[in-house]
Amino acid sequence: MKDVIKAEGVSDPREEIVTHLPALRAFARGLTGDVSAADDLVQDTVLKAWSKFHLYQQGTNLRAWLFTILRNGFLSGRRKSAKEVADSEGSFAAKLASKPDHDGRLAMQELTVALRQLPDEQREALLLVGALGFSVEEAAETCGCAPGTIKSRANRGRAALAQILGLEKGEQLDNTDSAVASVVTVAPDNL
Amino acid sequence: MSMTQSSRNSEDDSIAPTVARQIDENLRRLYDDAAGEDLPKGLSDLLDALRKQDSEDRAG
Repeated sequence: MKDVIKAEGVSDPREEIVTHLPALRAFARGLTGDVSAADDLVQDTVLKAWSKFHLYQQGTNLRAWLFTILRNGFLSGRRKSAKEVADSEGSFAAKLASKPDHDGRLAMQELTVALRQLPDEQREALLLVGALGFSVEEAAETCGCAPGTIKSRANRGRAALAQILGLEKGEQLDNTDSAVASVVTVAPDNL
Repeated sequence: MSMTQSSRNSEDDSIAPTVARQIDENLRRLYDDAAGEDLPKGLSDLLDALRKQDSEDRAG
């Protein structure tokens, strides 16, 4: 007999956690910029979540709860290793799954490296809202701040990326010679 | 441990909607790879171990 009481229509978080692992891994990679460190962070997150499931309120947002645990673990690790030297080229960038075209891969590496230059708070907002499709409200719940703060951080993150990548404000990407433009204007699937 | 709002600058951070959208599209593409991968063995093993421990706790 299961000791995990399942409310009608509410899945067991111990089972549901599996469905969130891919996105958790993606978020961890975006935060750490390193595949191995990201997987370690996800493992720590799973362990912590498992030991705290009694604190999780059934029916509330499990995804935001898990992402908050991961984010806290990341920030805690950052504080412990404040002197950690950034992997300037980004081992994640180097290990990116291959893209169909060389230019596209370079552009993705360029984007990854640019992303790592952003402050943590802007990067996490962009990762959640831009890359992982969180609503502003859900990202705010995850980060423990107001929705307006997430919007602002994401907007400033996008503006910073545009600046780092040489995309002028208001400029169409396809009018630039940036490597990113080649990715944006030519879908890899079509190459 | 809510993050304080350190972002009060009123700098002009507006960019063209098309640029913003395309940045988001590229970010999505970048992380679709990670999201589409199989779980690493270490993580699967950890989940198995946790489930096993749970069932032993329930039985014992």
